[in-house]
Amino acid sequence: MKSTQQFRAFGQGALDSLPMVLAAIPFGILFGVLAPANAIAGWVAVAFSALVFAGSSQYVAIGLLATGTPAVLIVLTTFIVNLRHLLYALGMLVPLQHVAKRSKIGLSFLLTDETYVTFNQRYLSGLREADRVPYYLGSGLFMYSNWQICTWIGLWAGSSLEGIEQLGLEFAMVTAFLAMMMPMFRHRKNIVSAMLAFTLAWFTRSWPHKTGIVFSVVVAALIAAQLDRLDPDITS
Amino acid sequence: MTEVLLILGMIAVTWGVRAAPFVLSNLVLSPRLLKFLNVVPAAVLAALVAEPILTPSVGAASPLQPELLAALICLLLGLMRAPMLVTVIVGMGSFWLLRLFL
Repeated sequence: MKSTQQFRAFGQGALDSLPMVLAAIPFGILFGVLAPANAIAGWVAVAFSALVFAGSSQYVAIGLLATGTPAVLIVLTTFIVNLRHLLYALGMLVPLQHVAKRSKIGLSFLLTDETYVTFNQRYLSGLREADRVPYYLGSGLFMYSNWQICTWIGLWAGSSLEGIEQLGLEFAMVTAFLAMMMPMFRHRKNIVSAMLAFTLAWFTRSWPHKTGIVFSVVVAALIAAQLDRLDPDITS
Repeated sequence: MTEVLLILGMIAVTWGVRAAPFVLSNLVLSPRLLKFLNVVPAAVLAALVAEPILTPSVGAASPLQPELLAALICLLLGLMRAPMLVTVIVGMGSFWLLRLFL
């Protein structure tokens, strides 16, 4: 009886994540296609998806790898990009209060933007304590397996389609980044942050080892963060 | 070897960040740090697209190169609240067309 209930919660978590899973498909495939287009070995792309499992960070990492950025700076940039996950993990503290610390550390591996958003919506409309972990796993594992399959499909497509490197697919990443930025522009602070970072990155492009990117991001974000008057309603 | 270290480093800073609040049970972020974190993703994405968008325009006779024009089309689509996937497809399509005709 108890296990059927939990199984149902698992299925509900997966079902609620379906729109997010569908939205992630093109980006997973594109990641698999872009890795070889940027001279990144297939196994590195597979390992990124399987072990890192963080869409935007993976894109940023292959973008930096392709320009010959040293590993230390890529890890540092990934760290900065990932810091927003702190906000999600903090949001999970209360819903997962009843769960053992060790399990929570394991569960946090699957904590993506999508699973957090899905879980939080259901949690706010009421989710029994016993159903929370199965629901979370249903969402997280669905996202995870979908991301792996899409990466493989993309790698296969990238390697088996003739002349794919002449298509200028590296530019697809630029369009993907621009598309990802747009919803952020609802907050005017982000427009300032992006414009400053774009300009600074251009003028620091010849700095050694792509240090200009990290510099531009930190300076732009520090300045934009001060502009409270632009978005007075934002609290988080 | 570098790739293995890179992957290990990325696991550490991804899973590490996601698990941090569960490991450090009294972690509190200051409002100033939260404000900073909120504007970081937009800055990272913008910093990464600057070079690929502008470089072709600098060396060329005309600044109106396919990369710059396609990027402007993406921005326009975004302002019209086109779904992400539509922006990518139309952006790439216009990039290919512009490359054929410019």
